[in-house]
Amino acid sequence: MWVQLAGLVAFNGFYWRGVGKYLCVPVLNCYACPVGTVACPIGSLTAFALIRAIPYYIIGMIGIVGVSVGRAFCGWACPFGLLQDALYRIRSPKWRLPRAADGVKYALLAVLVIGLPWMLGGSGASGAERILEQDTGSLDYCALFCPVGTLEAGIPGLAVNPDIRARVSWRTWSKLGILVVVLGLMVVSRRSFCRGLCPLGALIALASRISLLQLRTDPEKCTRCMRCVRVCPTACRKVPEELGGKETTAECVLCLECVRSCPETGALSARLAGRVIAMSQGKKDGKDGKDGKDGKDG
Amino acid sequence: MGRMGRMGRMGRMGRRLIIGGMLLLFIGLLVHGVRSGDAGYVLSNAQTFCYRCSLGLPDE
Repeated sequence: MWVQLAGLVAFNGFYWRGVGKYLCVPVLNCYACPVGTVACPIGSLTAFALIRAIPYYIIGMIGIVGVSVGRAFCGWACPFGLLQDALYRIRSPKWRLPRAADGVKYALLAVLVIGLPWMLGGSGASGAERILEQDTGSLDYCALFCPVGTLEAGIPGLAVNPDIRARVSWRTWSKLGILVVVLGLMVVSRRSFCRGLCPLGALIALASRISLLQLRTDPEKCTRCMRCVRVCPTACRKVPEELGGKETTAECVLCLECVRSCPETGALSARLAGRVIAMSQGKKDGKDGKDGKDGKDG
Repeated sequence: MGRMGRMGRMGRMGRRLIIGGMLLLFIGLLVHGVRSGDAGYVLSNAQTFCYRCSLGLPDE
């Protein structure tokens, strides 16, 4: 949690605003946010699709992150991940997102982030021209769906700018409605946005299967107590027999909750390029997922 | 060393080669992107994208 808070402060502060936005950081954090310091890879990807240019910079950056640490940024640094973890602590009936929902984020990435902007955009348009043409041409993830943009930039804009309040349209109401639904989902289902709706998670997940940061279970030491399965926020942990050697799945955000909760010393470990960086310490009195926070969803 | 042991070692080496190759490829793409002005476009887009846009509203 402290690492997540550090991420929130690092990506949202007034300092080095101008230069910082050269940098795409693999977390979902809207660059139109009044205090945002870095650029959002999904917003940037959409902008490249609108001018029909191949985003070498973003592909390179996401690829390096995906191959080296997988979706660890989702689990450790994303401010929207922190919000999800905080909202899930609210007492309410908990619900497990169906497995089929995992695929929605790939559809959002293919259609709203890349497909539609690419088809509707045109080469030669700059970022400013694109925005001036938003009356007709903007059918993309940022303008139609992104709840992060609505929360971090749209709502502050509505609050401080009467001109924006005067121009509220069906799109505004639609985006506010999507935000309410997504926030509601976060309360009842753990990391539901990461699992089902985050196009950045989908993009990094494409490379995360072969990442250098991997989870490993020692089948000799594992007692199949299922504690790791219950605490997993994205419900992607399984017992070793079901994993078939592929422990770090596309849905795993490498939060290491499973390693922390494992009651057997050395049964579960996280390895970076083969070197152990975290290992289960056999805390028998650790969280067992039966406290209502983890058990019902995981 | 048994046949399975050799195959396991070759599998690990192959995996390392694939990961190393992909890392080099992505570093190359990143450097090419920065040199060809992608980072500048990211900055200009980030600076012009406003809270109106985040609500799907047209700019002035």
